[in-house]
Amino acid sequence: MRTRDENKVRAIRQKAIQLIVKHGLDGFSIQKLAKAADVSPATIYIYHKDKEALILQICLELMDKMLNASLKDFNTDMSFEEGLKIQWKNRAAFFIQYPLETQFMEHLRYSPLYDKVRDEIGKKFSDTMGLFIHNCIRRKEIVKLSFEIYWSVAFAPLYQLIKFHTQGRSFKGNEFVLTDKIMMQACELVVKALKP
Amino acid sequence: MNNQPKLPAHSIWVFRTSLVATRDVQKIGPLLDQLPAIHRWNVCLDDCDKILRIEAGSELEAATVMSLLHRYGYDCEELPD
Repeated sequence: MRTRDENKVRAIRQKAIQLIVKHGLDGFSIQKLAKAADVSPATIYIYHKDKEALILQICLELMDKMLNASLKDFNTDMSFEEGLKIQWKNRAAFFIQYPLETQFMEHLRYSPLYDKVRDEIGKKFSDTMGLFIHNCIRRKEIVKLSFEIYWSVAFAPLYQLIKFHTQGRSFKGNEFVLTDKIMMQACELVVKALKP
Repeated sequence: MNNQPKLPAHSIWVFRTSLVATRDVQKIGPLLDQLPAIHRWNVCLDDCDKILRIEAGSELEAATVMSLLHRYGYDCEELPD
């Protein structure tokens, strides 16, 4: 009976992430992955039903890792300011530690495959964050808003700052490093903006 | 060797085929479904090797699958490890 070779599993996973970040989903194939990971295509099919299952599995594992990281030291009873700051700190730390994996998830986010990811991951995380927001609204710490407006104000600024950081500069062209000070400055403005 | 984690109770077979379109899959699908050793199978038409992947009990013989596809005019050979 074949035994699971963790080195091969790891190589397949890492190379898949690298290839998709470099060449996109359209250019990705099991053949190319096999060459890059130095395994046979048959080996890849031993561990994965097909190309889509492989991509989804990697994405789900990463999303799970990211969401768990974002919930570190977080609880749903925190004040909005405290909770959002922790979310920002945790997410920034994750994205900066795992830039390739972050870009991989970005590629998936705008593909039809993401619907399947959202279904599987969505509930656990949205329940937790949903409860947090519900408590904040109840305590009148934030205004009640549609999800899209809330998320765009609460998190899009952070994601943009991280993009500037990974590029090393902003639109202005000068060098940029996302420091804790800059992050908290932006976060405080967000908290202010969402106050009733 | 004995303390390494094993794959689940079924084994995996991977074949390269000349199945081209859904209608080819629909032709041989019911025949694969009738093989009692086969738990699950799928065909990857977007792979240039037109992969037939089978999860089955270890009693399945590759030759059985290959001759089944050959009988219906399709190429079929096991992909090497």
